[in-house]
Amino acid sequence: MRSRSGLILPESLRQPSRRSLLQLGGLGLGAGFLAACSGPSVGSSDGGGNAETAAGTDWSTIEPAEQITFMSLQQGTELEQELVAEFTAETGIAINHVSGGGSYEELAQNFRASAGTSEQPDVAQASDVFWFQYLTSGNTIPVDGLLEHLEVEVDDFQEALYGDYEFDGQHWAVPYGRSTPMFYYNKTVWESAGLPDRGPDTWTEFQEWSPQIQSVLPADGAAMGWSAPGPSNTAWFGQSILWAHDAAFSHEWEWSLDTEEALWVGNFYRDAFNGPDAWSKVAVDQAAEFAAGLYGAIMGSTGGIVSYREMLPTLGVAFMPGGTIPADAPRVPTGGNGLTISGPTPEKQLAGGMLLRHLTTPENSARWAVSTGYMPTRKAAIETETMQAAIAEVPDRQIPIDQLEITKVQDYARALLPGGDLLISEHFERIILSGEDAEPVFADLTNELQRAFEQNVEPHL
Amino acid sequence: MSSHALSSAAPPGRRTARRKKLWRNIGVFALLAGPNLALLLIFTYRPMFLSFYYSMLNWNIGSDFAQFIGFGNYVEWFNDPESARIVATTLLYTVATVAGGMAIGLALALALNRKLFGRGIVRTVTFAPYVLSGIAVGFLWMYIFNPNIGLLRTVLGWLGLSSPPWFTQQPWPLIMIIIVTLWKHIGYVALIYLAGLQAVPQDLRDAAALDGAGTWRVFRAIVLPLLGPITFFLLITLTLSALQSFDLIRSMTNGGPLGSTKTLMYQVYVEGFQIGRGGYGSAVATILFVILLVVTAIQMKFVERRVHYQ
Repeated sequence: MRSRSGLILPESLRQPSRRSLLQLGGLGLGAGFLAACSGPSVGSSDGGGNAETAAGTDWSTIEPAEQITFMSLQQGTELEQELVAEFTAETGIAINHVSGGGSYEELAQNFRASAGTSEQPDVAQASDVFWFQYLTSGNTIPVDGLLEHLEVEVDDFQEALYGDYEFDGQHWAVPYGRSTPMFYYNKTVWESAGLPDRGPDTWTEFQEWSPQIQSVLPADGAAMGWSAPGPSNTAWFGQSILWAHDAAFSHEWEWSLDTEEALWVGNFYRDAFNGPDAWSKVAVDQAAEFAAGLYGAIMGSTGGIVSYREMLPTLGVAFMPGGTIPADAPRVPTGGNGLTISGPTPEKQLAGGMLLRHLTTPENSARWAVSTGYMPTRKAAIETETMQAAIAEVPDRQIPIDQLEITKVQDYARALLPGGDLLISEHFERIILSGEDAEPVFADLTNELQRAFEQNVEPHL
Repeated sequence: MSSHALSSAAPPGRRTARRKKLWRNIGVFALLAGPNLALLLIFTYRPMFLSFYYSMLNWNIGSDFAQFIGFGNYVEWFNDPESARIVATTLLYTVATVAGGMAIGLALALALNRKLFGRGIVRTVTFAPYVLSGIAVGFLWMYIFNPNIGLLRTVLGWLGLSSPPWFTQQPWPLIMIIIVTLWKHIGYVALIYLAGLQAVPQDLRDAAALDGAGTWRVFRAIVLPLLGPITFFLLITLTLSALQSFDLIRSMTNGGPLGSTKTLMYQVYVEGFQIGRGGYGSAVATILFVILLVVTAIQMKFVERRVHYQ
């Protein structure tokens, strides 16, 4: 018989019998059984996962695995392939080098999708806002004991870069492709505006400069071009501005957006974008618009120095502006990615540790920094010939290195709380785009941060 | 005499032959349909049931452990004030892209159905956007819509107009996504309609013309009803596609600003993959699945009645 839609249906489907209903029920039960047989174990709390395995391991009794999998964003780059090949030649350990995708989000998705399967990488990159989720899922191990066994000089890592991965007295990754936000300005604009050839010492000073800067820009330009609202940058840069004014998103798991200082910063954002004295504009393609002369300054990652300079030969590079705290007090966050160990067996974990040691030697750290634009993660890397030659070629490379002196570990609300970065960005949009007062927005944000903490962190602590 | 009695009365040799034939048919069916059914079971139904199972858990993606919370994730979603706004955005986007896509696609098909110079090239060019990657299309259009240095800004400038704040002020971001979706999909709609138009019998048109019907009357009384099955097919496929749309939103607005382009599908992505709440993300995916099912059922039930099959 033909249905109205033209499909020819068997009699059993048009008038289901008891037997076909039973068959359907059986199919449903089968599917339910299939579902119940897969996925996570249902219980009341998390176990320690790989972390528990690692905690009880006497590394001196373990032989490294013959092959491990390394998931990376830079899998396709010549230098990383070279580094991996050198490691294999040196240790005999083969590396299955797989791509984690094209962004930190894709990397996290690929890592999560592979977690618990035979495809799970033994070593993986993790961004500053995702590594803690690997930890709460029980997929990574603390590296302290393993690095000590491998005689890695952890004191030589830049403190703020290594400290970003500390939780509960242990480190869960080592810094690899790390960056910091920088203040970039157009020297031609500065000169036309009659400003000194330097970045502003404080945000208030920049605000005072803004009328002069805007007077020499096109009518639709602005003193500062901010990258379009979206995850990461808003909260990353905002963290620095809060810190500079003695405020913060949080102190560990205590939210601190209700302080007078934090509210001042919130309203500073509002006035930067709204009202007759606004001096900021949202950029859709920040680098291109900056190079086109629409903005006097932008904030961007360290990694942009070389490419920004190619687009704008009159580029000026400076520290992130300060605020009310002393000029030499830490006020700049770090970002980028680190390397985590997620291998399921001690043998793979040990081999993974050896790969971490190899990729972060001072010389390799310097090679990596020069090639990618990331920060040299080791203090000793700065003194290597490779790094010094690169600084001689592009002296601006020295500025982010000097800025490391005033960097510090990120707030839990942005870096550790799952989705915290996103929540902060969404609420800042209300201030930036709708011109809302900071107080009710920060009150809502605090509630959201608390809800996210109770849902996504507290059950795993 | 009943068929059962007849069957029982048949000689044993014939019964055996019939049974053999039955088993052979079952074997052939299993051989031909088995691989497809297995693939469907593994890659469609299994994930679907697993997703429903996960929606009952408080589970972070990648974690080996989870807590069974029953319908807790659903209760949370229905109590979240953001949910109503996300559903409204999803429906608005769906209605605009489906209705707009079908209207423009049909108009384009009518134009392409005429004997015009270079018609073949125009058809190819019109269809090409449909096969492009959504992410690539999104990035391309970002350059066009950029209100600071984009191509559209320049064109509007020639007309003495300023560029709308496509990325920062509601409702422009959603309008921008709708425009790009339409641009990407109308070639496909036009192609399908074109095939339908070419199947409309010329003798019916001629007969109507002889009876004094004008172009509009012929289109309304003959062409449009005969395109009914195609319209119905497009309505269902475009609706399903719009409700599951993701790539353009991901590449152009990330669901923002202020959540103004966040659809249900994008919420699944944010909750599941950005925040890592596998259980809650699965609950949103299940809700989306139910909406898809209901919308399709409504279309099958009420719209199909108006479709005329030849």
